Amino acid sequence: MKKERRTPHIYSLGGIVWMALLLLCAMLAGVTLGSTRLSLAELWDGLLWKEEAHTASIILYYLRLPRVFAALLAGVGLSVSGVLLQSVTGNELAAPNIIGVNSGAGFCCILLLTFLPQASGALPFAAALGAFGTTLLIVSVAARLNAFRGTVILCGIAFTSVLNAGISLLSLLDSDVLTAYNAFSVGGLSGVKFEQLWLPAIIIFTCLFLSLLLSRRIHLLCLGDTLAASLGVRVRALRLCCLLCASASAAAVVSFAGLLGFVGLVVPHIAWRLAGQRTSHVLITSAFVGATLVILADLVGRVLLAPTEIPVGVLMALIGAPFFFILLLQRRDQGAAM
Amino acid sequence: MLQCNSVGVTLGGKEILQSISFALRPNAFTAMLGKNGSGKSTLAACIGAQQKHTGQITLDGSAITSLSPRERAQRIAVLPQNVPTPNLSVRQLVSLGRNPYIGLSRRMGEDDYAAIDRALARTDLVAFADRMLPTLSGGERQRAYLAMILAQDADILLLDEPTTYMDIRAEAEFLQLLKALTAEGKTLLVILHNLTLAAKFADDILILEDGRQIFCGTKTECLQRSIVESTFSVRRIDADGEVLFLA
Repeated sequence: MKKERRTPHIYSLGGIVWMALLLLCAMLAGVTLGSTRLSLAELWDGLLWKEEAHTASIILYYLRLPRVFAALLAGVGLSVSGVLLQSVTGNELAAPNIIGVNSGAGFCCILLLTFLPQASGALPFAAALGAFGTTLLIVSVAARLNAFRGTVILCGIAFTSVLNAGISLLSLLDSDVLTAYNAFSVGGLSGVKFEQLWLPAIIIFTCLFLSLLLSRRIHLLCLGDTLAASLGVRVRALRLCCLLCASASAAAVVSFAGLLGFVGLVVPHIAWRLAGQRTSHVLITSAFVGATLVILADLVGRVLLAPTEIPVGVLMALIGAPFFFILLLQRRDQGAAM
Repeated sequence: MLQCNSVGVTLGGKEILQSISFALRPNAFTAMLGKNGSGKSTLAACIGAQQKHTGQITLDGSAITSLSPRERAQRIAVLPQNVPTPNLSVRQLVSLGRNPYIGLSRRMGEDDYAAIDRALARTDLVAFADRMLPTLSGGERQRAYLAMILAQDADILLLDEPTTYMDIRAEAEFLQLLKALTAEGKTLLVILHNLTLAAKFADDILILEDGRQIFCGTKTECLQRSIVESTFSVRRIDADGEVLFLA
């Protein structure tokens, strides 16, 4: 009787084990497949820096492993950001770009490329700063206007329009800047290094931990603000905290991967279908699904037209958009709210 | 005891509520009546600490604004007029009512499960516990929400037009259930539009008109002074010991 009452335990254990296995398989494929294939023996020897597998070690530690970990972080960060945004705004179409992450990061990058081209090494910091700063601006304006839930989306649209206009204007001034900006805006993991990943990893997993800690309260937002508040939730403070977590997480990803579209929008929808409505389950599921998807998309991008590489951002958009459309059609056929 | 002292609300230069003062009688069913736009929902929002106001609302002598949201939620449960239909089972919804007792580090315990079971049994929803909310009728859904606020274990229940989407029978049954809760130690403040059912089930009546308090007292006094008839321009018929109000 009690087992029945305390539901999703079966889901939690079995589901998480399956998702972890899938993620491990994707990571294994990510580090072994590519223009140079590595056997499992080579992988093992390479990981241990054995003399006879020196080339494999270099491929693994300088190319494949940083890339797979970057893809994992990008998937986790953007998916968790998407779940938080969709939960706190009550809008299924909310994604990191709605709170100015993309436009803020893009504007700061193009600003740096235009006025301080010699400091292009600071591009990741400029991107993260722009993304997080724009969110802070949008959230503070929305909070001042008092009607937080819908207003934050409208403010996001307004600020995004202004920043996009700025990006267009600056890119008109210098075609070299436009070329450099395009590479950033497509989003990709080529050339990523371990040194770039430590700080984003700390930010992303801290945000995930905080989100899980608050997940029960976030879940109550599905009842609407009045009911959530009457159940003891500090709705505005919770919403602000979630928006900041979502922004920090997405900004951390932007700093090493550029603008990856669709992950933050599509993955939460998949997670909601797999995990039901409980926010903690959706967060964990979306982290696994997001990481697996980005690792696989990056792998396909590397091997499909090798030696030419398709940026993971392009592949995610190519796979994500039709997939999202199928989800919408299925939902319409079932006639049920997600 | 919940008490309002000179509560007023001004929005955009317009006075929505003016000098509302009353005390809710413990363990009684108080019906809040008033025409559309009379300020009923605004007063409910003030009591639920969701609306800034002048004057003071106190709970056992302490201002409700001095209580933390969780402390307040353990004392006052609010069911707003418009509630969503999330894709949750009835039991999952009812379990959300235990939130005021669950901290960041505390998971649900035996007390919480017992409170959920009690609430489901009290609202006759045990057989519906695993049904999903979108599959329920309007009346069943409202009962599920009532079960949720019963699981909240608050002594004061504030319900804003809880019978809006119910047919006549479901409405009467729901109010009968609310009435029975007063005998179990609950104090109810219920916003109602159906004057006849308010006259049948309420112990006390609070009437608002254009943001002002027209009357607050016992039902008997209200009926004796014909306040409902004059406020709502309705006819009253007394038949078989019941009071009916007709337009």
